[in-house]
Amino acid sequence: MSSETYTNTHQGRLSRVLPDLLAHRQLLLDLIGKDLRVRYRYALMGVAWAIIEPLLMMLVLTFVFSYVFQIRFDGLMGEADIRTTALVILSGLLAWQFFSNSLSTATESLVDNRSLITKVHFPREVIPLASIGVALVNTVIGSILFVIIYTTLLGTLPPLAILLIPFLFLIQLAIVIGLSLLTACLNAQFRDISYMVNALLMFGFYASPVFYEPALVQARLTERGLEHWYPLLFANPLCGLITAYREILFHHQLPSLNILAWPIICAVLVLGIGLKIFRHQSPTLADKL
Amino acid sequence: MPKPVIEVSQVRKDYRSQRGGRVLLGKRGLSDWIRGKRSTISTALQDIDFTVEAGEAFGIIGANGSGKSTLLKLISGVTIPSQGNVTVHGRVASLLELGAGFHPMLTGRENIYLNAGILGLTHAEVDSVFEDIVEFSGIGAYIDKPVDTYSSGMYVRLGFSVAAYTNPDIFLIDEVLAVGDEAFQRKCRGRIGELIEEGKTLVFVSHDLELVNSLCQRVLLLNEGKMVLNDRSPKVIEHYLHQIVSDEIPEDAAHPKTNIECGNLRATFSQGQIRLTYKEEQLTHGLHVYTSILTHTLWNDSTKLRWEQSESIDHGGYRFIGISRRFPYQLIWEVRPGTQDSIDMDITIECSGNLRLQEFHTSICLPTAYTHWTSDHEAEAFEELTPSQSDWQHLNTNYAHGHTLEASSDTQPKVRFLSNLNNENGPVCMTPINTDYYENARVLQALRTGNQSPIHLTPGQHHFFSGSIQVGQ
Repeated sequence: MSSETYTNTHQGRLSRVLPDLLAHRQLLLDLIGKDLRVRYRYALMGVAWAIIEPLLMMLVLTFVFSYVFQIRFDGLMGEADIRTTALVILSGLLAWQFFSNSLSTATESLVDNRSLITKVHFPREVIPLASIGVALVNTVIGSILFVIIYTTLLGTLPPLAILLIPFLFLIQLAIVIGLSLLTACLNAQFRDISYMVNALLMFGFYASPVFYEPALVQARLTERGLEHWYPLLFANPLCGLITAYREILFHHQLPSLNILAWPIICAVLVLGIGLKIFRHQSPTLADKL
Repeated sequence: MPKPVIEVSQVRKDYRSQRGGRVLLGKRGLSDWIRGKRSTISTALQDIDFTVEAGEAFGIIGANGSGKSTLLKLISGVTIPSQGNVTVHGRVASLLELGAGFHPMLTGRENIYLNAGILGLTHAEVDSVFEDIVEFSGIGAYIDKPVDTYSSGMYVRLGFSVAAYTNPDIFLIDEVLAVGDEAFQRKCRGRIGELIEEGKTLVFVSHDLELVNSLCQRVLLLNEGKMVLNDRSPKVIEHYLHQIVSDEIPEDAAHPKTNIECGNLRATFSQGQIRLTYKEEQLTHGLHVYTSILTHTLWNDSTKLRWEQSESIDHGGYRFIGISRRFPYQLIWEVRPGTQDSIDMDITIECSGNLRLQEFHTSICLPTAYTHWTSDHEAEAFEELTPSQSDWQHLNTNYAHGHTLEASSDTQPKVRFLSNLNNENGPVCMTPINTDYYENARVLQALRTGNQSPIHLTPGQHHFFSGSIQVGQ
């Protein structure tokens, strides 16, 4: 039987985040499990939807960009055929959808769970983290599927370096957690935040190299003599991360620290700020919901 | 000395007047902020200071909006005070709202694990009490059906069962026992009784004063966010009932005064009390002369009744009728001038339904200037009142039936209380009492008890007291 002692003074402390979360890890898992069950229980095809959605998206994007607009991914693969194009798009899509789904559900999570928050005391971080957890489960399923499609379409297993991707993914996860904590507690204060987040995500989809490659943007900018704007694309940390994933998957080379430095700095900053502000707000969250 | 498990010290809680979500550009949003319009602050609680010891059942009462629920939220850690400290040792389970966190699409079984997890239990701990939870709830085969197929009663029963078996150290209950059918309510009370037996700490918020009185040893009374009284249950509840009545009746309009004079003695009746004056000097003190009935373990004193206009009767006397708001009875007081500085009193209870009476008394409250008492059987000095005294204390040892009780003083005229009624409702005991330090009075009381078992009154009139008060050398 766990026993706890609390006073109002130490609830807002940043140093308590990790112990609090460790003590409530089961609750986190339960909440993720609840979301997944609720989402897929009465769906005829169940968890299959977690796969079907990104697959359909991939087919549409591949058709539009590779067949209609004839965007070519020659930066990495030389002469890329349509199968590789589809895989490149799918890889970007997986990374993007994790980011976008996590952020949009986590932003609204506190408001959606206000009946719990206003009645029971537990570390509030659990709620947005559970939303991210659900998106993470879907991404893991999608990634396994990706490996299967990759092997089928290209006739070879992905390179062994693919085992590095989970570590790179941790950078992305940290950014997502930091941002989500920030937007979730701001949304408790101002409900505009969730609309703002959704609008920015729409913009972010085009600002991230999901259906194109940075090299393509560079080429177009150079044609117009605007190449000095090119680094701006990489201000988006997802740009460096998606490029890094693709270098491993399709270029069979390890990503340079050059590309990863900025995402890592972003991850540390965003996670730190997000945790700090969330913890500061969490003791009185119940008053705002 | 038991250790306090809940310590609330100097707590204040402020809320912004605008609760809930705001939009950036709307009212109280960014535009107002830029223009310097800040939301106003309202104070829900202030100067709250108390402790609850391990194993204690502690009640919180007060009118709607007095801050009871806010206080429970602070104890449960849902929110924190704006000032001051709340320290809680041990795991808290709150029954603030039953079934909070139930998801309608999950089955009863899944919700039990989820809800218990929210309350802080591991799966292994839930496994060990799972059968008890299901059995207590009476859900039966529905346990594997989604809870949105449950009736609202089943939903609440499952919620209570989970909370009741999560084995917390401290239980917070907010007005949730008015749920389910009669049988389940009895079961809930039984379970709460068991929890008290097991030494769990209970903090209980309710409007059901009888339930609070029967469950809790100590009660905190809140009024508009401030502590009014924190003491033993019956005392606080009586104070609260008193407060409700005085809130309802405006001071002068509804308190018509009636004077009855006899020689140097004047009796002034007002709202269930008789104030005695002797040679223009006030004689009685505090509650003055009043009566009280103990029924359903609560004292209902005459000052809480709704008193009708007085009417004249024979011998220059008056009849006063006070109607109870809570119980099916009314008191009829007949007060007449007696012989030489005395008044005669006759008190009748008229029941409109069956009434279970545990005790009934007529009392004269005197200032502490009175130092000695004499009954038919004993004579003694009144003991000094000390600040630690929190209960009324009977000073006599011989409880035999008596007729007179007298209080004397060096400075004040003697007061003699006579009872001259022998009737079917048992003997009258004349008993001298020291009140608690707060009321600071000596009491001469004519007490009628049912000798352990309650007196059952049938509809109709029952003559309960007849006697007189004599003042003089």
